[in-house]
Amino acid sequence: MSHNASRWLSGHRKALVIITAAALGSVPLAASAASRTQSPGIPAAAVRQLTASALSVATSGGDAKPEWVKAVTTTREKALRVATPGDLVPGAASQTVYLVVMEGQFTLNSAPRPPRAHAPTGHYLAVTFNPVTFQVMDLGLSNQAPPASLGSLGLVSNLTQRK
Amino acid sequence: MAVLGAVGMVTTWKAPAAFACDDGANNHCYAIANNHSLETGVYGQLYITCMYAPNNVNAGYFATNEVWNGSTDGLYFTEGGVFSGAANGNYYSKSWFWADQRPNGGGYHEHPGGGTPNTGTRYPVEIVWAGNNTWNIYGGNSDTLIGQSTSQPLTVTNDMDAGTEYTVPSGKGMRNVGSINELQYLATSGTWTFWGTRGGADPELGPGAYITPGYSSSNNFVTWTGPC
Repeated sequence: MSHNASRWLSGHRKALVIITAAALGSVPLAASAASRTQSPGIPAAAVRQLTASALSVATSGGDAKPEWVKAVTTTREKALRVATPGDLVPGAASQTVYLVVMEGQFTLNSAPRPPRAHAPTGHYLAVTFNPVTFQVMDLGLSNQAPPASLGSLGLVSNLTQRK
Repeated sequence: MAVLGAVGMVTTWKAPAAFACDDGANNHCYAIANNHSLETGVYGQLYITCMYAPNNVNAGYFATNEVWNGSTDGLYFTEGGVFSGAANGNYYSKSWFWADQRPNGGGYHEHPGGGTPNTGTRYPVEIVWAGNNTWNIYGGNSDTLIGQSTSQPLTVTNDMDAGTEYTVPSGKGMRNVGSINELQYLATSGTWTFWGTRGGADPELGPGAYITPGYSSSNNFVTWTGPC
């Protein structure tokens, strides 16, 4: 694609996305009637693998024994509001994920970041996993508790509990 | 150390090596070019000659080919490009990703696993202002919208970078040669403009850094040549 064509496309995409962003902005983050529909719990057969994957992420974040680790099955779109609030990913509404949230003392030394940024730290690590491959799809780290409770998304599985 | 900013030549920096790129919180290494100005978008075409980080989850080895846009203090940023290496208990051979950070309750966010690029191919990547404190990230093998970062004010984003970030110490098996071409910024007037002399190569950044960036102000690209 030529440079000019690329820039033209970019301009059009920008316009489209402004409309999209405006539309998304009108959607309240509070649970709607549809989102209050409970998702099914995490299958027992998946709990062991999910627990291992979640603890692997916790370990790489510097806390191998989080205070608690909880998980729920939901759409990626709803999970993003909990795990990475403020971030939007196209197509997320049609994807099912396992959302895991844990509390601990985390530092992501290996997180990619610009030269002047420090390693991210936080108490709440939230991760979405592909329910088939258990690969991490999204990750968020914050000092503030997630803006929505996992219980509002579905049946919560308690993966580990230290206390 | 003087800045080599002559138009039409590839400029490089050289810094003494010490310690290792992965030895602490702020010790990632970089070979990048920068453009420190308040603009509304950054665009480049990633080119991977070779890119590989050993699978060492414990050490967190990785290498990237990417662009960043954010504040000079590093508190706000968005980034997008290709990642190779270990992250969050997973290993990615080569994968598209994007990430962002915002303070005041936002935190750090990462979105890996966006498809596998090929070597020897130019891929556009773009971070552009979309209004309402939102930045759009375009990339992937098909040059599509891969994410949106909201609550990122325009007024604090006055730093754009392009190049490679790596956490693999010298002699540990990383392969990393690449470039980012056609570097442009979207001026606040709405015109895409080549970086030209607004851009410049940073010094080798990070303790033990061993890849020197080069920037061409006449051809608007940053290149780096590590092991391959």
